[in-house]
Amino acid sequence: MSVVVEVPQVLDETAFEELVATLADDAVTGAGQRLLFDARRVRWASPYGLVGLLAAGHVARSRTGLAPGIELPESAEIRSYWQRMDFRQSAGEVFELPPGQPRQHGTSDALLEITPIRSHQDVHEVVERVRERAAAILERRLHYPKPSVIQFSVMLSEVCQNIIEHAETVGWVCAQTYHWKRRLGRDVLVLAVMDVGVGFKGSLASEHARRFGEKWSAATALEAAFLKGESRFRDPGRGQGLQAIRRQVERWNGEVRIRSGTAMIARVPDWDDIPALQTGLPEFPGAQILIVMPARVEAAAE
Amino acid sequence: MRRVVWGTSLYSYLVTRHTGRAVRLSIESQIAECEGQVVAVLDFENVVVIDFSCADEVVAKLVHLALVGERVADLFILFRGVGEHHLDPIQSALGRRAVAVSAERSSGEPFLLGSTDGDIARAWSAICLLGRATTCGVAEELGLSETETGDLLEDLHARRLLLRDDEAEEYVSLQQLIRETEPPRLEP
Repeated sequence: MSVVVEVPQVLDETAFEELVATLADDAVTGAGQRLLFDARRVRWASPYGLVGLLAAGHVARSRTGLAPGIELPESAEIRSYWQRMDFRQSAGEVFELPPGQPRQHGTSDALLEITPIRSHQDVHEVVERVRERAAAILERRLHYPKPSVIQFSVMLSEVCQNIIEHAETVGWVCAQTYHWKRRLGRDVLVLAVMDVGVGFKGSLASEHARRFGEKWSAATALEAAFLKGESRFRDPGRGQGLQAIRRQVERWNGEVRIRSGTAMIARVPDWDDIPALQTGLPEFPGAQILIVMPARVEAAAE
Repeated sequence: MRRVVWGTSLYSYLVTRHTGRAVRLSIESQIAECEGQVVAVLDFENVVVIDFSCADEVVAKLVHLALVGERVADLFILFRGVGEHHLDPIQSALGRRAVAVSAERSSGEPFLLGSTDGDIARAWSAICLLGRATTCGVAEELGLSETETGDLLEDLHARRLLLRDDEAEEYVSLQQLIRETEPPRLEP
């Protein structure tokens, strides 16, 4: 008998928090428990939601010791989209999938399909692969200036390296553009990067925990890394990546959220009202990063 | 003293700390084979992307090595072909280690990259303009006393931002030295 984990119809960052809350229940993820992620009713998924589902499945697998099952969306349109986003390729290493081989598909309209990051070579491949698509999307759709393509590549490289340098396990990256009609009335590029490794608190603990004493937490670790550029190394050259990402996203009036452990820190733009720091969230391993880059309004109007 | 101008073109995609470390170690081992005073020319013309981690490994650590290295005691570094898209990661990496390096834009225009103050930058620009000059010559260019100018030039030399020609009692810009010696051997 499996415990069914309902996947919300709109699979986005809010849905991910619901999945995390479900998995935090020991009764759900006890050893030997078989979980079934029921995604049949999903009717929309963001990059964060898709890689979040993989991360949730990975955590369920490691806690129960059994590969969870998954029911894929009933909607042919959504199934086709997941197929084009290469969900099945990565899901095969996490879930016990229903029979069926991944079909070959042509080039998707995504900036970056779900891509596992295990090594520096993977980071190289991702950065080189997205260049042409990034140029088309950033310049034509989001009306960003030409140098933004390189700046995006640098950001992508740094955020993916974060997985290898700190997570010590597999992670995934995915990016897509779409129109945020209700939230912003503009096109946006959404980049999601997740891992299920040691997280910021675990990574920085050896170098910083003693200094903070009892105040040491997921939130203080995130603040140290995101706001002060501190890392687990004493080397002054370390810790630039996240700060550079924060500065760059700020220039684009975008949003960055980093969730790790029980906390989330964010660079909040004027078009959103989420808290800059959230604590007391349900525990989830690793780091989950969401970057939103909105289209430039002034450039589009020119 | 024997002087060697050594040059290399860097990879198109300088991303990841891992790649940066490999590139730096390769450069270090090749420089270590050179004897005497070495002017290393790193050409960025073909570098499409350089990220912050790689900039720290290649750029900042090599410059740091020139300042404190034991095996490579007399190393000077010049970056060539530096474009706008390289600046942010390189400046950030050099700034974090409080070091600076002589550089040339793709147009050939010399400029200083990294952590410097106004007087140092002015003295460096004067030497670039003059190519090689005595302390007196630079002092005239800057409108400063010889003592003040001498201190600035010695500081620049200590930071490996110019060379000192003891025989001629002159200071020499890295660009000038390269013009005076053989063109750098560019390796693939």
